[in-house]
Amino acid sequence: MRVSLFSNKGLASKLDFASARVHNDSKLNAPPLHWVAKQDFSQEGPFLPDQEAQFEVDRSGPAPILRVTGDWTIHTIGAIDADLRLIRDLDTDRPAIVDVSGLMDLDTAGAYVIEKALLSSVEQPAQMIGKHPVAGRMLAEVRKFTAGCDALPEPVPLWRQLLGRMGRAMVQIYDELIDTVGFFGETVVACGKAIANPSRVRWLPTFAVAESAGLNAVPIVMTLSFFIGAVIAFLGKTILQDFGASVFTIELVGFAVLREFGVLITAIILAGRSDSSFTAQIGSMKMTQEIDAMRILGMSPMEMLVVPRVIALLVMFPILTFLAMIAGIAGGAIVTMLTLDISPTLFFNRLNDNVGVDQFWAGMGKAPVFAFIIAIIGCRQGLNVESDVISLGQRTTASVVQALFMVIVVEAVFALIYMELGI
Amino acid sequence: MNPADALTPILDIPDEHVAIRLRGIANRFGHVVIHEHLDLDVLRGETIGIVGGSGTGKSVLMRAIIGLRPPSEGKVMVLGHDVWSNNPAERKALDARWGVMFQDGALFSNLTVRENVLVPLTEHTDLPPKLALEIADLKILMAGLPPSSADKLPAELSGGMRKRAALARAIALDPDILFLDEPTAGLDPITAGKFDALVNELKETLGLTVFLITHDLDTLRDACDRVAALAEGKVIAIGPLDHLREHATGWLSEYFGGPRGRAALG
Repeated sequence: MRVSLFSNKGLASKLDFASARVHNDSKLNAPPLHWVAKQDFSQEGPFLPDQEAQFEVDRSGPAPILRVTGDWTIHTIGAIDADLRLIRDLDTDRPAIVDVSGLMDLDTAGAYVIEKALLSSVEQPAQMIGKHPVAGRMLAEVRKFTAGCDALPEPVPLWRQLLGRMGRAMVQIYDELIDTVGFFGETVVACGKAIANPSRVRWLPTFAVAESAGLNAVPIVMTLSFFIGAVIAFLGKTILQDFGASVFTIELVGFAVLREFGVLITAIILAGRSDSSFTAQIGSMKMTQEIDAMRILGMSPMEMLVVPRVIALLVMFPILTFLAMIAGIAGGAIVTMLTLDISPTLFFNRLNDNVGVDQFWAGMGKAPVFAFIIAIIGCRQGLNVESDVISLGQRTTASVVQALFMVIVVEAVFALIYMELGI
Repeated sequence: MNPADALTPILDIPDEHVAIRLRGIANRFGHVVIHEHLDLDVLRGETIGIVGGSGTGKSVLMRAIIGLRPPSEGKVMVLGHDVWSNNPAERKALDARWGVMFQDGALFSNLTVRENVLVPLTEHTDLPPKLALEIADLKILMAGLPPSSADKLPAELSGGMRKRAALARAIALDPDILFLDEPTAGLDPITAGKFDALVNELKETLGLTVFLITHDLDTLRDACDRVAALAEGKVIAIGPLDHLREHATGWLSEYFGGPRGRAALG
């Protein structure tokens, strides 16, 4: 059913039903002010170009009068702000009367700057002369808030900010350290329980993580190790040639790849690849309160989320390391064979005689340690995510950075231990 | 016929009184039809409440009006301009004429409340930085937030304060139209009531047209001039709340006549 409502004159009175036929009585009497204003000033449509805002202070009479003309909206007041501030900053002799007869469009931003220039407060409002449909009300509304608006905080000096941030960072590092050690202990206990009672291990997520963090990382780990092996071989050949000892390139490749780079490349890739995903996965579960739900349902997040990841990495890390070693040796072997004219038989004989299986185990021995570090750092940072997006980003970054840091530090510790052991 | 008896949309209101004009809107997701032949006029200076069951496409409709998702068919005119006309300058001008408060606030989480309110100010105006800061503070105070909250991040605020901060950002440019998507959802009744009062007050001061999506019957009663009910893909009824209640049929009578409706509206 259509009703022909507006086909005759006297539009506004009929339109009243829409905005004024409301439930409380005070509103019933209130005219629909907004379109009174709109009809007066922007009949041609909403995008009428703005009239420049202008003002002058008339000091000819007994009291100064601020005369405002043109549109005073958020789009026009920028141009006159500097001039208006000159009046605003006067200690005495600010006008207490405003003449709005030439004023066209006005919004709260415009009302704010007018009110700020006037000698006016809620107790003693400025006097308004001239007629304007909304100015009186806008000025009165804005007047309530003007006092609170330029109490901007004093900027803290740079050196104090710097010191403050350094101090906070120190405390944070200390807290992180304590927290990590605590989490380490918690994880060990949870893993111990899992070993004592293997039926409690969640095997499905364990295999899922083993696939995504382990199996899917095989191509990248092998490719990079291959190139590292090749680079070492080039390096060895170039440097050792000067001493007439280029055949020792084989030993260099063997030692470097088996003992250090196979496991280190794997650790670095997993620190970047898996740590970020562990933190993001667990972190977003934290944000959506899934972890709280788990706790309520009697499932321990340690058991559901952390233990599967630790087990998966403990299993997959040595396998990846092994593959990385194969790829690295292959890269080194191909370069040596092509550039030094050494036969594969000689290469592998020298590798077997002079490098030996000890170096393989020296490298492999680090794998579970790195796996554990990477898994618990990723999980811990994920569980520390709070409810906002920033902390998710911060925690993911922290997770990768800490994992890389710890991997390198532990690598150095291993180097010292092996040296003392004479391996 | 008495105009107040009109339950279906009145479609011959002259342009200058219409803030939002929808004609023949259709929205489809694959084979799922959300809207079909939907017509609606929102008058300048009124607060219109949009109600409808879950899945009737209230938010989809709003997204079509504010230019976030094109309707499958139909024409969306806001303040006399076609929202989907592909004219970037016109769109930018329109963006400065409306303020939107999304359901969860959608505040930028890495910015403080003051910086959030500053975003539209710096994007759409060339105010001197100092004045822009003052205007931002003005809007924060007008939205009913304490001055101390200006330097806080959204995550540090309570739900009600976050809504107010979102409102402060929505009114930053003194818009002509304010879109509110479930402004009182998740608020306690007292805070929700205060929020309704705040919206009313801002509407009076700024002369706003308010497009308000809500489930909250108290908000319909206290803040809306007219109510439009969405069902079966179109506006099934529109008019002042009391009138709608008297003539409610089908879904609407269930909506108003249920225990919650009776409790809220008496």
